[in-house]
Amino acid sequence: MKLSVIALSISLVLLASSVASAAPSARKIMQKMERKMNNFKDLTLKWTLRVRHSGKKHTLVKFKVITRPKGQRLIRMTYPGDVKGMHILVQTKSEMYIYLPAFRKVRRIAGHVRNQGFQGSGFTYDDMAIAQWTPWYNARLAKQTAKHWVMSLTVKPGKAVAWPRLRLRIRRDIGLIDEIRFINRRGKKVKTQMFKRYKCKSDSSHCNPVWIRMVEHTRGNLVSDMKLKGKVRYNKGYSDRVFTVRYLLRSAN
Amino acid sequence: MFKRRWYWLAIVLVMIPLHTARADDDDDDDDDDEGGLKTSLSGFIRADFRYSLPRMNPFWCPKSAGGGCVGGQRVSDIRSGFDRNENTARMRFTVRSGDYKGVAELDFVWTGFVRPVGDLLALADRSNVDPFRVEAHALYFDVTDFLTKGLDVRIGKQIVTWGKADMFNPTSNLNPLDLEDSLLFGDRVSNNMIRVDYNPWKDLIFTLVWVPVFKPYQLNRWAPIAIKGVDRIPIADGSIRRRLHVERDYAAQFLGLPTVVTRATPVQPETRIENSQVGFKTAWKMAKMDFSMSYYHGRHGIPQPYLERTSNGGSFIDAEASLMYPKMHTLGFDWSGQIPLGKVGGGGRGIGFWVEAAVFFPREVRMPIFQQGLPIIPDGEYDYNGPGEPGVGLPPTIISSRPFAKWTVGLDYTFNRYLMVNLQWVHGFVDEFGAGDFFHKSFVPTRGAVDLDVNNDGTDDLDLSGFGSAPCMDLSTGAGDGDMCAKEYLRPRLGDYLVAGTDIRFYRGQMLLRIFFILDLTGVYISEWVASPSDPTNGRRERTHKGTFTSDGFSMVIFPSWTWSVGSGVELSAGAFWMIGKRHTKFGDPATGGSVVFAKGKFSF
Repeated sequence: MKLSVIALSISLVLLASSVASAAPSARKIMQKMERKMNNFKDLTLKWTLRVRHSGKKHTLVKFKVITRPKGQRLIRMTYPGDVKGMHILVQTKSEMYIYLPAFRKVRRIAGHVRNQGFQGSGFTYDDMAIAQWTPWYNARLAKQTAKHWVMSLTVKPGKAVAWPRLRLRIRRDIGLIDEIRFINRRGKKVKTQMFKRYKCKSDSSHCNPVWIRMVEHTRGNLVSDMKLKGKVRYNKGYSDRVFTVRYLLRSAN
Repeated sequence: MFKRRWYWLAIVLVMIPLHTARADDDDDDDDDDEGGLKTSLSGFIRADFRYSLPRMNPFWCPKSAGGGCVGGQRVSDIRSGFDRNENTARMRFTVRSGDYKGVAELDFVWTGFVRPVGDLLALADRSNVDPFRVEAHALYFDVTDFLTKGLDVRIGKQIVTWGKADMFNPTSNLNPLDLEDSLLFGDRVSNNMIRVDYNPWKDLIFTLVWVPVFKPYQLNRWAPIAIKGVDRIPIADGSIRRRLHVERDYAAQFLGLPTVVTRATPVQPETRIENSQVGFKTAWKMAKMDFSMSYYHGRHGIPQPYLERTSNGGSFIDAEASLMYPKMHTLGFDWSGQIPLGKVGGGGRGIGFWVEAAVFFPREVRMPIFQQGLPIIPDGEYDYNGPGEPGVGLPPTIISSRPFAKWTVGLDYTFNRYLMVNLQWVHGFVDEFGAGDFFHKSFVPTRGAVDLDVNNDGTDDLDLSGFGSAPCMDLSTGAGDGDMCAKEYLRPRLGDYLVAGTDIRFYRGQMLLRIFFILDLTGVYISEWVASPSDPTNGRRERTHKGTFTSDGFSMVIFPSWTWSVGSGVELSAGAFWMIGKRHTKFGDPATGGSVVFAKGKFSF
């Protein structure tokens, strides 16, 4: 009897500790995920963006992005011809500049354009830029399965963000997101972003999505696919000068 | 066993390089920071059709009017029918090698209209049957980090645009405006110049530009209507101006000698170094906003009259005007940023704003008038101060040396993915120059003529013949009484305009409906003699303001356009450029060229 009680107690302790070790805190999960997503000095990516319209040929856009973990981005449009040569520089959330070849001029654009769809797709400038959530959201581990952690994010008091609630699904095997659900103030799911495939560095210190799909539920489930073309190029050593208006003007004009 | 180990080792050895290549190899061949020669070609092919709608023009005259309705110009001078039938091929070729870059951007433009020919043989010349022109927007090379880090030099034919505002940039004076196409607001003519930028730290940039040879604005086809308008010479002194109206109308009505400006000759500044232009600008960032200050020394790009000679042309009075480009210094300032809206719209959605202002210090321009062989009026210089004063006085001022300011203040905001709004207040339109606004009153005439019905009862109260009881002309001296007998429509030299527009996206974001308008807030001033009912010579001169929303003062441009981005670089568009207002208003002026509808197709690559 005593032996069975001891064995049961030991089992319960072991079970408790195994559960505890399988469910790290939401904060730790998020931090680890963000560290991994931003584990680079700079990144150069070439994307193709396809927007699939129902019953119609898709529209195709190509662009190149140089990005840094702090959120700085230089986007150069390369296709189609009517947007080719357009450059967008993102220094911070409120400091964005666009070079329009037709006007041969750099124009500052205000933050209100950040929530516009990028080239008619379901992606916004923020969707393409954000790889950090913990500064603006409180995270709670809503669910855990064998393959995923499902995080429920709510905006921190006093923070101004486009989406008050998000639902992130993180893969337990690589510690990275594979789905984000964007929920509006009325609790309605507006769009879903899926990270369909990742490509990781040989040492797995960083993984980059190579296929991202956005489905907009409020626009008839419009599907936009962003696929990486070519290699993920790490740490080319871009200096701060690349993310300046001067560089934008010189490289674009 | 031994063979199996080798087998697995071989697989591992093969796999490792493949895996590494996928993540880390750098074989991108157009990265900005790599060496080697890189070339790129881009451009477009465009067809542009425009039709002038005479009936939409406020100055349209019916055939029954005999063809001559607009200040001596004939209606047929204002083309009706197809206004444009152009095909343009733009090629932009860029060659880069490390820090060196060369750019050539050329437009090959086929006008689509046969040149007027005087002889059948001229039709054997292709350039008459199918004329074209080449416009070079860029032919330059530049060097980044020349001699030292942060120092960039660009030499050649280029366009340097300063200022944060949209389209209306009073601080941008290095390149002349291209006003040839009214649909292309803000377009400029490139010029040969040397530009040096120095960026010592973050976003602090110093820019120096030297333009050796001055180039004027390219004007539209109808600009001579304004420059040659005999009742719209921009003389600042109202009394001289009004005398000229009376004397001119007297000569036309009683001597059978209408005044015609047969020549208006712009005189290009001599190509000496002291006539070159220079600009300097400092730009910086502070509190996440952009600022810049600039200085420019050069000339205004629209010629102003500085000499007039009138002579007897037999059946008319021949007026020849010489025009020059006034010198000026300009101090500029601009500022742009974002007005935060806190959590509105989910945060980060500020309203974009910009302020751009320039203070101009022009050199004075006066216009002496010389006469020869005219009836009544003695030969020699015009008697500016009137017959009652000794000597002739000083020639009238066309541009005073008083400093003046032009500015543009604007806002923009995107409400959602479908709707964007842009608003600007423009003080001083692109063609307006010289002090004259609410700070300092100075006007230019848009129409001027004799008005003999001074109490507006439908009958003439004054006499232009010179013989009546209330004569407008002193036949002994040839001087007209402008104060009593002339009526003018006047505008301040610098008007105020509301430029507003909205972009509405629809059809999956592929279609854009853009509606822009420019509303003239200035109105018009009517200057006339207001007499007592019993004695027309007893009265006073009054200047009455007719505001924006009066029939006399209302003037605007409406510019709706619809664009469909079909895909793969193909774009179709259609729209209209509709001028509204009476003939004496800013946009009702025949010199604007009138209203058109347009359709364009473009393929960009």
